[in-house]
Amino acid sequence: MSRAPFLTRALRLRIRSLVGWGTGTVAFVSMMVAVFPVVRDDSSFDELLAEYPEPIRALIGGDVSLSSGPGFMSAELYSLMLPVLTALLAANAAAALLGGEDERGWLSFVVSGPTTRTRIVVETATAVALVAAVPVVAAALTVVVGGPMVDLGLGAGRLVEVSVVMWVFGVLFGAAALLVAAAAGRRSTAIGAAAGLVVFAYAAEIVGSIASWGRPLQALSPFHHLVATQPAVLGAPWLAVVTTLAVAAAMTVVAALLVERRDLVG
Amino acid sequence: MNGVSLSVDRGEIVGLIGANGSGKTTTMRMLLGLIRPTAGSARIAGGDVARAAVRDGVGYLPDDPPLDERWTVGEQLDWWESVRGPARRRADIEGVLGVESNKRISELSRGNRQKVAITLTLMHDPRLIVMDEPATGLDPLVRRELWAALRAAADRGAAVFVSSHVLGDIEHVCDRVVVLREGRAVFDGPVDELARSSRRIVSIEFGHAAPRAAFAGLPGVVGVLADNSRLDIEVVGPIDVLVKAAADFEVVDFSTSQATLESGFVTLNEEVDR
Repeated sequence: MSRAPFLTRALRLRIRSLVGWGTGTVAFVSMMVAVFPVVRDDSSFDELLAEYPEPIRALIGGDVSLSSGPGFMSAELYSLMLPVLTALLAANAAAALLGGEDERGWLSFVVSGPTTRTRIVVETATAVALVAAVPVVAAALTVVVGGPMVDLGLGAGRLVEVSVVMWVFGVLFGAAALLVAAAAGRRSTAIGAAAGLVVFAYAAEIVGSIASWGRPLQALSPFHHLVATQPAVLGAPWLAVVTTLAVAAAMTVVAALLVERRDLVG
Repeated sequence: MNGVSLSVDRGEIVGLIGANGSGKTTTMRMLLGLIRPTAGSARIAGGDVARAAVRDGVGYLPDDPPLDERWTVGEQLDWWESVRGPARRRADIEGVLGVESNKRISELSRGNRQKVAITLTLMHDPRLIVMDEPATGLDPLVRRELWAALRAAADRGAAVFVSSHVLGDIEHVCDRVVVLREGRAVFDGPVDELARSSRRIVSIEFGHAAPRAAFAGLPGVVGVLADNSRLDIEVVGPIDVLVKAAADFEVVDFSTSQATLESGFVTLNEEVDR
């Protein structure tokens, strides 16, 4: 018997999709890295950015220097593109692997035997965490390979730190989707709720950085505590990272309890 | 469901029949702990089904088996072994049903998908087999093999609980039948008993004018139609009293429709309706 058959199944069934997303990420990050020398050598980009109003600067990652490699990557990749991609990929995996499998009767089929529902939730959560790592690792490897060619200046330590932050951000929304899927047993409900949370988190960060009345909302946003701290430039906010992981773990525990206690859908 | 109480013993095949929406699937899902009753309990070998260890040795075939489309049949079966351990009857069942291991599941017909699902259900030689409409999509020859496999499993000591709309199959395979109607069990007994209780038409041709009055009041007779020397007698249950009564007259011909599970099922539902 396999030690983690549900984890391996989840990854096997998604392998093509993951290869596709990984390849797409490599292509995108490669383009970003290739473009960096042009931006670095032209000071007008920084001058232009400095003239933007605060809301626009907030949209592209806050006060960063585009002429530095970490600042450029922070603005172009790590402020929006990669965290949102990672979050949606993880949320979609969680929604499909728990909500979708409940809807189509797979969950009922499997737990009619001696397998516990908790085991399936735990292995699914692990699969979601690994799915979230795919674009992050693909981006990091691309930077490792391409960065030295253009003197990107994003060191290994900072790269690891920003990658951890991106991964934790994705894991959080994956866990949120898992929780909703556990409660509702519906794929569409879970992915819809998680996508809504991503949008809310981003909007709250933007609103909070522009208007004082938005600060309480901003304080609730994972964007604010993780992504907006510019981990590529300033390093990982470790307290926020650990707290986020704890929240994701707590959501997984609650998801397992919910699935254990409710009637299955399909 | 409302007050349903039933049991399936080792070595027994029990059929669960009822109209659409009568609660067959719900009953099976309750038995397996997939949905919880608001009152009462479901037990397997005396243990609460909510405990995973109690469900060890259960083989379940849902109405619409959820297979993994991208895998081959072999991969699907291998994966199930990685979950439940080595399957001692896998080769037997694959051979009996004619399962093709190298085919991709997305390419299979409905019947062939059902064969794969049945293999998944039976390959670990379960002690409790629960099947919801297992004959769906199967050709008559494979259907026969399926029922033979279930009978063999019961002979090895398995308890088999199966629902089907093909009442002819249930009649031939099951030892006992439970009839559900709007969430209640309205019959639980031997298949023969339900069949014998069916409404039938007994036609008797006499060598003289039909003696209608001699049959009208007999037990089980619900209607008599006389036409010169012929009587068409509508009867529910055993017909031995009719045979005895007919012996007092000159009978030219005696015929009756066969009492089947299907006719018994229809009669039972008509009686419940009244």
